[in-house]
Amino acid sequence: MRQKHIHIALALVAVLFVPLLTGAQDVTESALKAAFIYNVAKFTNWPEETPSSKVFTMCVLGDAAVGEALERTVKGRLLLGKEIRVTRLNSKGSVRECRLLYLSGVTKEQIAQVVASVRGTPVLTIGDLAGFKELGGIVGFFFEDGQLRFTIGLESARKCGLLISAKLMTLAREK
Amino acid sequence: MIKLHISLRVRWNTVRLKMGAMALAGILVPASSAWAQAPLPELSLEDLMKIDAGHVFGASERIQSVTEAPAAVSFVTAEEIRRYGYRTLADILRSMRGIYVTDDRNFSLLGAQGFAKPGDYNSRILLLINGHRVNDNVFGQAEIGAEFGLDPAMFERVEFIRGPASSLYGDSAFFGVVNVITRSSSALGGGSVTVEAGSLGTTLLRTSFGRTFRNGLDLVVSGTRENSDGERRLFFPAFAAPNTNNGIAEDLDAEGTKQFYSRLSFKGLTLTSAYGTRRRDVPTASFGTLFNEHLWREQTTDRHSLVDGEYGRSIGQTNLTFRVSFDRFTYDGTYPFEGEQVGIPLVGKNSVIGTRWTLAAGFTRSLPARQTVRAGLEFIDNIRQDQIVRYVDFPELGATTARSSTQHAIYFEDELKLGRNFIVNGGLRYDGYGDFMKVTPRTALIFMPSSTQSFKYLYGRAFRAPNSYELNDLYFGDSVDHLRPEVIDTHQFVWERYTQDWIRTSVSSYWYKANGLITSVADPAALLGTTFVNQGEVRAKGLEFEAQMRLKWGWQALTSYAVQKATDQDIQAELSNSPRHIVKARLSIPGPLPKSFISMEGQYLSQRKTLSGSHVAANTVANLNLIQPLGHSWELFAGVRNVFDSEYLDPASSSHRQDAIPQNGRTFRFGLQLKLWPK
Repeated sequence: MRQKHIHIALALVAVLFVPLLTGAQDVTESALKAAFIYNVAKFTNWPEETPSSKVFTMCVLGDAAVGEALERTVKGRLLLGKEIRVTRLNSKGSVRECRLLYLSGVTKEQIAQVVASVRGTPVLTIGDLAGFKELGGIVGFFFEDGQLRFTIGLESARKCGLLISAKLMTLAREK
Repeated sequence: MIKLHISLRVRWNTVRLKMGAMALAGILVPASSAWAQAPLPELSLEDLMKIDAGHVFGASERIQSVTEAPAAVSFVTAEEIRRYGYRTLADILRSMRGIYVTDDRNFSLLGAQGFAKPGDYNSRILLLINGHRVNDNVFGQAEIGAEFGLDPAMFERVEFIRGPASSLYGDSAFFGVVNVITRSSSALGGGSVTVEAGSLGTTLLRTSFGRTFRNGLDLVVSGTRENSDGERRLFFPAFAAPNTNNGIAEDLDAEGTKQFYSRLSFKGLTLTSAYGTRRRDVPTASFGTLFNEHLWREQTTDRHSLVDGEYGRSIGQTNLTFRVSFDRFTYDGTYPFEGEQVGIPLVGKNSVIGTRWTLAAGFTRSLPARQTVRAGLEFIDNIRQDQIVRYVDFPELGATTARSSTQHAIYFEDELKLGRNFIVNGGLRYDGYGDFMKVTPRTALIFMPSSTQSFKYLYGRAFRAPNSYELNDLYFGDSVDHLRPEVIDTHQFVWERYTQDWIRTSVSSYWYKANGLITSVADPAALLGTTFVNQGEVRAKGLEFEAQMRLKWGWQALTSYAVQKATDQDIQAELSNSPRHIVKARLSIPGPLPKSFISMEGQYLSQRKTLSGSHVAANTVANLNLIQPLGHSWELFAGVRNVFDSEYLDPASSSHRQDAIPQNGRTFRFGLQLKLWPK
């Protein structure tokens, strides 16, 4: 009987420690947000760039963990046939290269300022602050019953010249 | 020769174990990536929207990541409740690592960290509904069986926060906190009618309705009625004598529940009301009542009513919450004792009425330098804490103990993020009662080398105040007036890790010392022959492992192992009803048809000591559940509990003549749900 217990215990311990032998990635909140950012981008249409660049730049302001996770997420993937580059901005960084901009963990004032600075240019702004849409942001993340949901500011997207696919619209929620 | 033989045997066993473990690891390592589900970015948005972000509310009274919470947390979601066919809060909690439930065929006792003293009224676990305390104010009891009063189909999530949390919640948050989060209409989607039928004459009818109106008003209403005849014949060897029907209790295991729930939210205001009643026949002839008595059967009825209003508002970086709640708990028990004339029992009626108002206010504020503070005030007015005893036909023998009390508390918690990798967390709460006060601290140091991993050291102190029942000097003599709260100090180490997009592992260890435990002892001078004293110290240590996996083809699995050793320091002996090993595994797989799921689980408990000093054998229980949507509007489900019909017992309390109580064998259940206005 005792031996049986030890067997069970050892088997479980073995199962538990297997993941440690392999590399680390995760389903933490940051990884989930990163996967959403990438997927939302897939369902967005940007106007043609002139002059066209070879890379698609995603910028992250504020949340370093999401920045890290996004780098892992987009590694080896393409968007609009282009290689994806993730740039982590500090509060004074230039948003000129960004075609997608994720803002989190910064103040409401900073968000309003950054969103205003990209108004009218084709930059998909994504954030997780309550009222992100009202600040002029396009995709607002929020949690409902522990699962990630998003709102879409269609009017802001239109002003930026971005086309949000119908599929994304059907999955969007109102907070 | 014998010696040599043994040493060879041992060595062979060691070799075999090592080989076994290596083989297992060997199989799993190369297979791991093949078994893992597709990487997150390759999942569809719909699938991503189903992934749980691993948030917890109850650890700090605000939503935060499990990895950042100052506790070792487990939770079960509504989807898991549906897939595994959980029918009570006890079923849900039983699926979590290290937790076990002891059923005496009347009440369910929750065991955590190796502690579940038979006869206790679950007063060392704090039970919350949406953050509001629902342990009653007479027994301090967390009712987790059908007597809980709320239908698990209305649960959005159940969180279990291990370890002491008195620094946030005060009384009863001793071994852990159970927080039940109820459903809103957006999660419920339209309405439904459900009928179920099963073994032991079980029937259930549930109707629910949920709607979000255009102005933002969110409304949910549901009602459930369930009845069960229970086991027709239950055999108790302790009563195996001709004058007690040879130990067979016939038709004395019935249970009936009615549950009502509604939730209305509009802007920042949420109004939850619930009423639940459970009537149960007690087949065990507990408290020295007559065995197999039908004229006046031993029976208990528990009723819970709750009206809870909560208002939340954000002003800048500050979130304010206000709460006003009213709780009412009543309990009626019928106890047939042997009368002076044969065939005419002396019938005792025991009633309890507990009502209280709770007023609470708190705020959470993010400060610069990545600091978050939470502070709050709580005031509880226990309007009634009445205990009534009377005897049918002898009104002059009755006695009523009317009691009322107030308590107040203030608490503060501060979380400071240091650099990118450290979180320091400290909290303190003051609780004032009429006769005593208590200050309880909690502290946590969390190190996160990356966003996928966290190491936590947690220390906390918690208390459980003597409850009104224990303070009843009519029953237990004047000495109980001097009872003081019991105290626990717990240290925990937790290591949580997310790996490869598909597996979450958690290893936690704990060590605790519980002091001045309120213990029942014999006292010939007291009316009931027993009294309570602050006596006894329990020390325990334990280790828990858990792995949660999201595999290919939508498979979801959870496996856990807990080992613990709890010792009664007075007698230097193993605690009763404390299993050394608990092993659990569960798996939910899609199929065989589109949108259907087969879910199975197995739970193993090693042997447990009973009050008489003998042991109930180790047991393994397996459950199986199938759900099958039929078109858009219908869903069928079928469940088998205790698939292998294993016979097992739970240790009994001192109010039983039995040393252990037999549990149900294999039972079946079928159900059909009609969804109204599905999305």
